[in-house]
Amino acid sequence: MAPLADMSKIKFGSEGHVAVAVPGTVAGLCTALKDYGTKSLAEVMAPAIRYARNGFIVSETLAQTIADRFDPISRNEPLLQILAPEGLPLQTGDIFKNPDLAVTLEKIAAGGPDVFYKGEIAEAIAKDMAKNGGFITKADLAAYRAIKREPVRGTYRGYEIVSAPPPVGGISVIEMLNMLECFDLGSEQPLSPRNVHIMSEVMKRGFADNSAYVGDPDFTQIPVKGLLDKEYARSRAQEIDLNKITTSIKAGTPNEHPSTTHLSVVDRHGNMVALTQTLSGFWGACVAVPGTGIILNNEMQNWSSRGPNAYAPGKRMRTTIAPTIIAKDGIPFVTMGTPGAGRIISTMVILTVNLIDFDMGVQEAIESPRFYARDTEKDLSIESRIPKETQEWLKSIGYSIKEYPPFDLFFGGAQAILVDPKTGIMHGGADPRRDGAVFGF
Amino acid sequence: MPIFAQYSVPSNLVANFERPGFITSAGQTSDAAIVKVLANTRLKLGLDYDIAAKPQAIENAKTLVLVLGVSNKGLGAAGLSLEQEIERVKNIVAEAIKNNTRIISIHTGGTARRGEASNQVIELCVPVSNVVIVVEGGNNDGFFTSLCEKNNVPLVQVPSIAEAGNVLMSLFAAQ
Repeated sequence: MAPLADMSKIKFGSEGHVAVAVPGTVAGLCTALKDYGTKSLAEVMAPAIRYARNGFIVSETLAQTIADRFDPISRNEPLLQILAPEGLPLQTGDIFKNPDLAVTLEKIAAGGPDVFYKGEIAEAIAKDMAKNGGFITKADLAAYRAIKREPVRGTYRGYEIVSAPPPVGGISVIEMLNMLECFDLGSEQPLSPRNVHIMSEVMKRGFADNSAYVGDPDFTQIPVKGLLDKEYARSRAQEIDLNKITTSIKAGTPNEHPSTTHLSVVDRHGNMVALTQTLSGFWGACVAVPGTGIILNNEMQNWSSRGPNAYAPGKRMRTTIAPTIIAKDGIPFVTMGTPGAGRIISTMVILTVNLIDFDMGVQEAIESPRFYARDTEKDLSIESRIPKETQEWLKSIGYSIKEYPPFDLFFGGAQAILVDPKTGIMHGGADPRRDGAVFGF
Repeated sequence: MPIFAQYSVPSNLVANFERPGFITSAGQTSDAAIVKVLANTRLKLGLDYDIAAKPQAIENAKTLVLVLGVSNKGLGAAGLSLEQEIERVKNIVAEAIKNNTRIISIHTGGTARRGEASNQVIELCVPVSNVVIVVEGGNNDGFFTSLCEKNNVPLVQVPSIAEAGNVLMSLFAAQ
């Protein structure tokens, strides 16, 4: 959420104190635990406190994310102390400890979210902001509230899709799936030229509508029903020429006017949670609050210059996060989500198609080669494992291809659990692109 | 040329490089920022730094440190295509040769900074270098070894970035 101060003259960048939005994760997680949880705050926070204090081994991916942003990291001394305790960035195999964060988490575990939003942590954040030209005040933190919203719902080939509502990206996942329902994807191989072309064209239309219509619902009228309408999707799908790339795509007219981490969890009763949280970019604003171990987000970079996602004080910015649950006949079937900025929405669509149209197992669906098209980008981004035959055909009809390594973290790091409706057996899938892992307890 | 064990820098190269020195990337890898912190914060070498330096920036440098590796993210942040970055590196190298500026090439990014594009800049920079330092993961396939042998350039292979710093320190003459 944007601070309450008027920042309309500010140019939002991706680093530094000005880039930081009022953090919502603590309020969100505590609200979810209070309303739906079965354990105490201290109990659920204990493992995180242990990892922060005792440390964990740095993976190759984590080391790379530190190296990738080391220039801005090195400009913030408190963050440098966390990520480069001996002056150089933590390397693969090093132990990553954040003892200050352990103390901070213990305070929240003992005192609840008010410690963060109204107590000494709020004091520390506001003090660091004031010292470094940031805008977040104690009043901003004290005023922050987690909002419970109804999820967006749709269907795809008989499965119910439940996803995160505006201002985040689930609505676009469902809109894209509605368009894809107009095509028989399963009659060809998953990565056939025709299928990749259709899905790319659908992604571009979905992203165009997302940019045009999605913002904070408390500030802007969003045509939710229109964007989720099957007829509207059909009209958008009819625009697609199966043998021709659409070079310029505009938003449609629905019938109303108006860095991220994902966890998928299923409990023994079959309850599902899809949780996506984000600092926005890797290491957020590259700002750590002195003495707390807290690394702050750079969500303020996500405002648009105009439209439903234009900046306003106290407004919540649009993001693409789209934690999603699929159900069949009212019974939860899959919980899934991914980090990956703009690729979040496209990855959710690809995963759904892989699971439903191509009947893949959950790990196979995650590992399958990814691609990403957007109305505002000239290239179709692909992993190099996309068949060469498909690539050549796409080039022949005008696609500009940007090739990434075989498994690239650009395309996210999906985590999913599929519960077999016949046996009840849980199948976890984790993404090798970002050190994903599956655990059973 | 032989590969020298860690810290075993050819004696004719020890304290053989002068300041002012200048660090830039060849490929927009963020490893350049790490080398900058290593050289200036840790080792107090006081080298100038610009990840996307233009030739005129190195006019007065007596030593040029090229940090090798292509990063698509870095290219995007600098607003450069790979072709434009290769052109920039060619111009920087030409300026260094014109001014008799000595060149240290350093590769710290391991396998993540190897691949077709990175190999292109490595092949561009290694032959004109006076010495090459590589953190061992980046030379698992012997690419640096064969390239240095072919061009008669000394190669110092080290197990970690910190030890690359020790080599860098030993190369610069005291001021």
